[in-house]
Amino acid sequence: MDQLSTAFTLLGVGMITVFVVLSLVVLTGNLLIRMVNALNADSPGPTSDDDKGAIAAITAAVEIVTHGTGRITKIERKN
Amino acid sequence: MELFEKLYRMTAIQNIIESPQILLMILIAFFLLYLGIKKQYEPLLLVPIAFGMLIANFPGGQMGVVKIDESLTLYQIARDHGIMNFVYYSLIKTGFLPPIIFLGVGALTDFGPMLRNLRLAFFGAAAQIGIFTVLISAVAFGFSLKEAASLGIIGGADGPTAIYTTIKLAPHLLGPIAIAAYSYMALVPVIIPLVVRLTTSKKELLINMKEQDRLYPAKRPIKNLQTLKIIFPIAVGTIVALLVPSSVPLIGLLMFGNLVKEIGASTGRLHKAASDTILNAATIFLGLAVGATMTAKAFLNVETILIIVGGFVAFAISIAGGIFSVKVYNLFAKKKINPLIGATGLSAVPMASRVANEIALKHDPNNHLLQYAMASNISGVIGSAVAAGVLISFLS
Repeated sequence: MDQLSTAFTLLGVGMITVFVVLSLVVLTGNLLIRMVNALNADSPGPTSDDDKGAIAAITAAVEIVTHGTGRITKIERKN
Repeated sequence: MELFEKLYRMTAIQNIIESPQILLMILIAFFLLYLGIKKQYEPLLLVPIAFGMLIANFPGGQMGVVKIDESLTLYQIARDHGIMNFVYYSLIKTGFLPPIIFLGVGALTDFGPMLRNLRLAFFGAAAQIGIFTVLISAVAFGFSLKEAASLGIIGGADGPTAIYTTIKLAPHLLGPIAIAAYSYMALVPVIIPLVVRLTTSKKELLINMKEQDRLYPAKRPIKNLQTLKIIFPIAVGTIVALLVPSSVPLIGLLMFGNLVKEIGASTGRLHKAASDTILNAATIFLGLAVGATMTAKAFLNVETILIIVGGFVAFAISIAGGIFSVKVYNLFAKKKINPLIGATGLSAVPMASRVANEIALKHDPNNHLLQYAMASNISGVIGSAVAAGVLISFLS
């Protein structure tokens, strides 16, 4: 009986802890998004679908050529 | 004649005749090898576990893990009890390998989908309910609290977490719990559709996540995902360390592995080592040593059957818990969520997400929800590690 009551306590404590930790993860994520967005206020917003396709192709090409070690820091249009 | 007698005694045949249950263990090992090789059930872990089990059950080879006096030095263990006991007592019993596997998992994980859909992370919490409900049921069935917690953690659907918790709380159950955890993870494509069929309606499965995003767009689009992905593991690692320090060996290394991945070229070598060499070596030793705990004496008993059944129930309740939490959320929210997102709240990354995506596509060929499912799926990894931390700190 004593063990059962401990098990029920663990159910409560465990689920609450998991919810609290993941809530904090969500909260932190949102705060970080605001912070990073504020620091990147000058940079252009999300790109169009066409650009997304081009960026994906460039990223994949760099990934293959550099065997995953390379990273794109800047993509510029030539004209 | 004496020579033939010596030759006969040299073989394992005499021992097998004396203890026929050894033959049954060998047959189980063959069956698990078949599942891993032919059926492709989690082959990266099931094959080493099954082979470890096979070689552990041949008497005289000293490859089976035995209970020994833990005050012996590692050299004495290797000399007196064989190399498998050396591996087990130095790498497994110390709790070393599961966090190392988490390091590799972190180096392979992309938190991008979760960051883009942060609210879906809550369903990774709801899906841990199976762990605690089965803990209660197992206590009612006569397991001790520590054993019940180790059984319940199978519901987290995370192999290294299940192994880590069992090592800390009930190491004598390591073999059957590892087998149950990895078998059910391999059976995710069967278990998720079964639970989804029993708990959801066709109308709910038709909820199109992209359509919902179009109707109710995100308030804050991310401007620099790359920077965010670097800061995120540091922040999450710090928060978890602050609140549940006992889960830091798992979450800490998961976040470190992810950090070296996201930093990019300057830590590329660390990322490569963590996600490749270290992860693979750890997987081999973990699998073989866990398999070696499954000797006839340790495995063939009623507890093993209860663990296999209890593990399945924990798994199913976790999936149902995630689904029902989405249903409750949908009662109050304008922006609806497909219940399949809740079904992926248990770990089993990325198979659970792939299965959820396939179910959604079966109902609506335009409903691609993989990225959304990954959000709750990845948060499930954090959730199950936190649940493990709670169990360890309360019970050990």
